[in-house]
Amino acid sequence: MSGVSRVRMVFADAAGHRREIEHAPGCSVMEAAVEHEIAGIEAQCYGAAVCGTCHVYVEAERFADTGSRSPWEVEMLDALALSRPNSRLSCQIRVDAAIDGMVFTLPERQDALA
Amino acid sequence: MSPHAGSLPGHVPPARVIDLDVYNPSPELDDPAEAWAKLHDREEAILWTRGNGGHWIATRGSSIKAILEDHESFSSNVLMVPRERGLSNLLPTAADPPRHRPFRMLIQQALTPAAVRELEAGIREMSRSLIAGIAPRGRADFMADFASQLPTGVFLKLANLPVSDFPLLYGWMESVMRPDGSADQGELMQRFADYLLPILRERKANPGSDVMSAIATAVIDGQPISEDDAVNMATTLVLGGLDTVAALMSFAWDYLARDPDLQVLLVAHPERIRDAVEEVCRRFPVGTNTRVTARDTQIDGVTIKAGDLVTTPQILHALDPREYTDPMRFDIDRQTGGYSSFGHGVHRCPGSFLGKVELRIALEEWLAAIPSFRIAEGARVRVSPGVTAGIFSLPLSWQA
Repeated sequence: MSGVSRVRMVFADAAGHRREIEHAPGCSVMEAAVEHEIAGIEAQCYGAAVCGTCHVYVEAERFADTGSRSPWEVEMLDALALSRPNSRLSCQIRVDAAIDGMVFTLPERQDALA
Repeated sequence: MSPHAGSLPGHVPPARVIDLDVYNPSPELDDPAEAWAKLHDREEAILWTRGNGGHWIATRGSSIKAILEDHESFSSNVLMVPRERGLSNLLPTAADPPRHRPFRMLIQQALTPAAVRELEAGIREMSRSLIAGIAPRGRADFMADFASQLPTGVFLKLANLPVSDFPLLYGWMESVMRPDGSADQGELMQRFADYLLPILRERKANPGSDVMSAIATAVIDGQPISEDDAVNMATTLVLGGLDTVAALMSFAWDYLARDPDLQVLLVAHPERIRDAVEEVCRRFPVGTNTRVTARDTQIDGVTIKAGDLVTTPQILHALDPREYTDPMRFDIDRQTGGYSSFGHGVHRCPGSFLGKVELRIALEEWLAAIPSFRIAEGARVRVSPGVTAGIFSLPLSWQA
């Protein structure tokens, strides 16, 4: 249907395989990834930011485009072994025009926080 | 005046005070949506009602989201108003971090997207079989004949509970979620416990792959889960899982029955059913959450004092004109998201993905078999308000 602008997102796994998806804005990057069955976004808690299994690395130079991290998200990311300075929980990033074309790199595995 | 009226605490500005029962905001209306929407005529983002013992009501999408995301300022230790009905033992729902985490991880294992995908074929099969039974009749009470059956079937399968126990469990759940003042809540909780404890003990001895077995055999912080904690987890699952999806479906079919153009569009473009599901979730949230303030917090220029109760009726986010253009209108082209219908923060509904999948599959199968339907002539359709709201009698008819 026309009128709905789609946002493009690229998911790159640790081996370098890339998949591009298009999704309507509004929901979270995690929800868009789950709907497109992106392997590597497990999203066990589906948006509560408690499990750490929708972890992604965002493009460092476009980090600010993904919005700000809440203290809670930072706490969760700090507890993840594979966390890096450009880590985000994709359930906490909103799909909107600011992230159009963004590459989300997946960690080599998703470790659920115990 | 609402029941349980409380006296006004000194820190509540009188200009913010209203009289409203959040569980029954407009006894005179068949659909309370307009009564809720009227609160948006006011400038404030948080009001105080004298109803149900006296508590705050967050009235905007922004204040609702801020409160639900801030578990440090707003504790889940009271989940209902008035305070004495607070359901404070439910797990993980009434627990705050860090105690919350192991219980939440336990419950969500059964509901991950990967686990739900495994259930999809069964949900489709169940939908088809229910629809095959009613389609030739040309009429049905949607709730009795379909919406109460499908999610219940899925839930009972997940929990491996006998279908014959459903009326019993459903009755207790209704008394908690749509209280009429006749039942003592402590007594109701005890009924759940008396029912669930023997089942949990049996599953602990002979565990299966169901969610009750997972609860019964769980290890929490290195120790086997206590019987009390197991019962409180299992009770939450029944309260949260038994009728929320059915209620969501009742709103969806009520709306769709009155919009023949949308029926035509979705039949021609079934790929748009996903967008319809999103808009159902945005426009027809079923719940009202409660939090108890843990530390004095400023919201919208007022101090919410430690100990104050705050409710967040999800529908006030849905109908907030600052969040959505023409919010009453159902519009599948809306770019939704961000709604409060499944909550926010660490307690966000762990079953939301399952609920949306059930709704999508049910719509796909229903429209394939019954492409055109309407509200049965002469039927009076009423929204039953409550902690969770729904339309519990929805007579539909179609050309068989």
